[in-house]
Amino acid sequence: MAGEKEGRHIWIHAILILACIAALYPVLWVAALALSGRQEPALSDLPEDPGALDRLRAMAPVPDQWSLSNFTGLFAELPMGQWIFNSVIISVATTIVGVIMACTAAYAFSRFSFPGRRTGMMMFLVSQMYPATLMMIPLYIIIEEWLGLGDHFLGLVLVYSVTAIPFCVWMLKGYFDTIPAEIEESALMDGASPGRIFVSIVLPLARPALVVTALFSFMTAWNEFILALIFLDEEASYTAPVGLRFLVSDYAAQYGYFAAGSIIVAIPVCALFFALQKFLVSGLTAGGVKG
Amino acid sequence: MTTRFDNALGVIFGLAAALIVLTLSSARMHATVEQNSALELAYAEATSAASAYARGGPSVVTAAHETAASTSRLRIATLPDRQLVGAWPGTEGSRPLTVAEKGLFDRAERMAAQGRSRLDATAPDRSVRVSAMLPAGSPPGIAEVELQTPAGGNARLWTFLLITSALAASFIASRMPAIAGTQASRQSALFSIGATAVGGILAGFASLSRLGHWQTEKAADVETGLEGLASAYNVTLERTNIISEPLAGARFDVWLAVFLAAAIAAFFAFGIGRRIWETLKTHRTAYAYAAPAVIGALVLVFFPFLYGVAISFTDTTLVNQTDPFVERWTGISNYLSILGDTDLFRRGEAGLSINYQSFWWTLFVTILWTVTNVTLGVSIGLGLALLLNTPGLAGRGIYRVLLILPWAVPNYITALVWKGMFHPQFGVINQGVQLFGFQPVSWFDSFGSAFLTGLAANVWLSFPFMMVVSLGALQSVSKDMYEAARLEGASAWRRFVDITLPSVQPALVPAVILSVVWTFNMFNVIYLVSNGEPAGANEILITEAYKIGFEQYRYGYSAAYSVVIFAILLAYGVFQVRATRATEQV
Repeated sequence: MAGEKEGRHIWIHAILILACIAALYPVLWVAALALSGRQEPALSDLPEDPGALDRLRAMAPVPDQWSLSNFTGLFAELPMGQWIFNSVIISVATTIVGVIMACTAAYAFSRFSFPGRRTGMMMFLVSQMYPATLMMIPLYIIIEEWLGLGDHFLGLVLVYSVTAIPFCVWMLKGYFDTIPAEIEESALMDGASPGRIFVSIVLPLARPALVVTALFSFMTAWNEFILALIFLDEEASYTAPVGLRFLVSDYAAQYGYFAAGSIIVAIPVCALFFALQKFLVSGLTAGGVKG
Repeated sequence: MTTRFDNALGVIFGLAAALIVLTLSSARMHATVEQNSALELAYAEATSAASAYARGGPSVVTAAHETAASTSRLRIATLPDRQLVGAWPGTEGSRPLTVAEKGLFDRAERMAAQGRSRLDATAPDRSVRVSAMLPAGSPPGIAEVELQTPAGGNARLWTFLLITSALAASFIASRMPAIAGTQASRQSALFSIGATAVGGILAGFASLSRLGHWQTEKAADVETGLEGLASAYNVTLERTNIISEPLAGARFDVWLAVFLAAAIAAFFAFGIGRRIWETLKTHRTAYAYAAPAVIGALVLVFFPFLYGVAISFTDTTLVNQTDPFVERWTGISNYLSILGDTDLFRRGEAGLSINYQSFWWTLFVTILWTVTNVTLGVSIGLGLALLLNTPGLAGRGIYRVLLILPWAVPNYITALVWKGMFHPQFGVINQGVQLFGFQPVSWFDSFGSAFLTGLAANVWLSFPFMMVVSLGALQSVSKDMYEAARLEGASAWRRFVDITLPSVQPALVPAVILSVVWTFNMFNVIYLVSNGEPAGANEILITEAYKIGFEQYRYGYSAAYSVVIFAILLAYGVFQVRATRATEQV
């Protein structure tokens, strides 16, 4: 009986290890490319008539020569620092604006009953199905032509924080619903104003959900790509995703710089992701919303 | 008492709205004829486009790019391989574009995309419109510039009449119940609406007379020198003729104003305004809390949606987007041409070929893409979750973290990485193919292989989600059930079908619904990995809509395409909710 179990586990381990290799390989490949100092998407040069061993070596995610030149070049030759700075500003501003708007609205939807409450929540839900391309042209006209914020970070902050609202409201409302209303009622008895109850009782209780919402808004803004591509014309106002995409677009093929930049840009979001993945899953499946 | 107040309020607000509309519409026309800096800017842009056309046809375009700090100008050839042929001034020879030049390139390409010999430029304050055009058959280097400026009209009298009529109408409307007795509330409402409409029409006439007409001047023999820049455009203005025609769109503005005025008046007259105001007052705390998000969403989510739906009924493009709305209106013809493109096969020189641009082909690819991705994602995710859920498995935490990693990587990076790995010349995947003695594959040259590249990238990034969801559900299943089933002699397959599947289903169903919507709209992977190659065969609906909108600049058509996508998703959502409810009831 024990032996049979051991044997089954070996097979399970074998499959899982294979799966892990498949999951890790692209990541290792980028890391190796970033550290190789090369610009082509190949980790080593092949001899004239490559044998199987040469090919295996070319596939292994280990660079021929180790070099940090891709990282240094990224900042010396390209405005990567500026791009990351732009992304940080935009993401932080989006987080602040988005969370403030979402938490007050979620509180209203959770605690008060008023005409339009159900409709509002349904509208928020349906808005998640709007195809991005349908929104782009009107948003482009509003932001670029009416407000004149095309190349300005404020334009993107407005769009990001508002488009994230429906998701954040649904997530936060779910959490507010779990906070017992008796706490607020007794505070009301003691003569606290509704605003005071919200700020000093409800918000502190909802801190975990607020943190998750904030991180979610931050990640959305940090990873967003299409709208930034449309709004930003000036190289100096690119965000990191637009800058990275530019490096491997039709205009240029600098895979080494791209790999180094990807590592720098992805590490903070990966860390954030692992910190909050548990909440993300429950939020996603509970809210039933798109990405 | 209250009705009287409502009616007066309605008339005043309605006429105010009409006045605002008309003032706005005339403000954009009202300008002086003198040349200002804005005019020069528009002028330069138009002439440079004309000169570029003159020099090498629509494929060569001169783009001027000015910031406060610097001015740079480039001549860019939009050749198929997208190489910069000559920078201007100075550098010659071909090289890839730098980051700084890319913005210019986009702009130049935008102009070239129109393939026109004519470019309309409107000064930022809309005071002046310039059209540069190249008369057919004229020698290169000579363009004709048409300068259009609005002529003013005299409107003081009309404005005076308008204000007088507004005051009179609101006064009469407010006295109405007193005059006609108790039965008059309905009549007074109708009267106030009528009065407002009449006021709106008067305001409209005032505005029409004020809007005046376009005055056209022509400047012939524009020397568009090839070398110099600032002094290149020796434009001599010759007043040739003055065309007098009412402004396009002016009439539309008038009717819009009248409609708005009447609608607002009705809004108050029938007491809707009062009721809304009272609701707002009763629930003011709730509305105050919800207001920032709701107003934000109205402006940047719901309004853009409605605006998008509206332009889907027009033939709006980059070129005519400043024209009045009514002139762009084409009804449902966009939808007819999208859904009516049923010729899936084309007879060409090389025999029968598939028409990849057809909506129905793209829909087929999108469905194929969604079904294969979700199926693979769910199978792999559920399979791995089952393995990870093995009791007493060592190292489960490490496996779990490693297997979630693809989800954590931003998806545009994932897509670009896979694009690099599928590189036909350098990519590691072709190294692997050759390792087993096969010829390297040109991944992006045929539909099947290009489809596989996107599929590989998307399955890689989507299976962890399914795995995590299934794992969460599996961990809540009681071990005793399996034990009991084992004692009853149920096979592993029966245990899977009868215990595992029913217990993961509640968690998996919403996850699958979500994932269908995500995959259906997975722009990044398709756009960044295969970019729809070959020849647009791999485009899914969302990337096709993007390309129509932002590469062909057919905004109206793209919006109609997007509305169709939305309709499909909405229908799917409704169907799915019904189906889920049905199974829950069983």
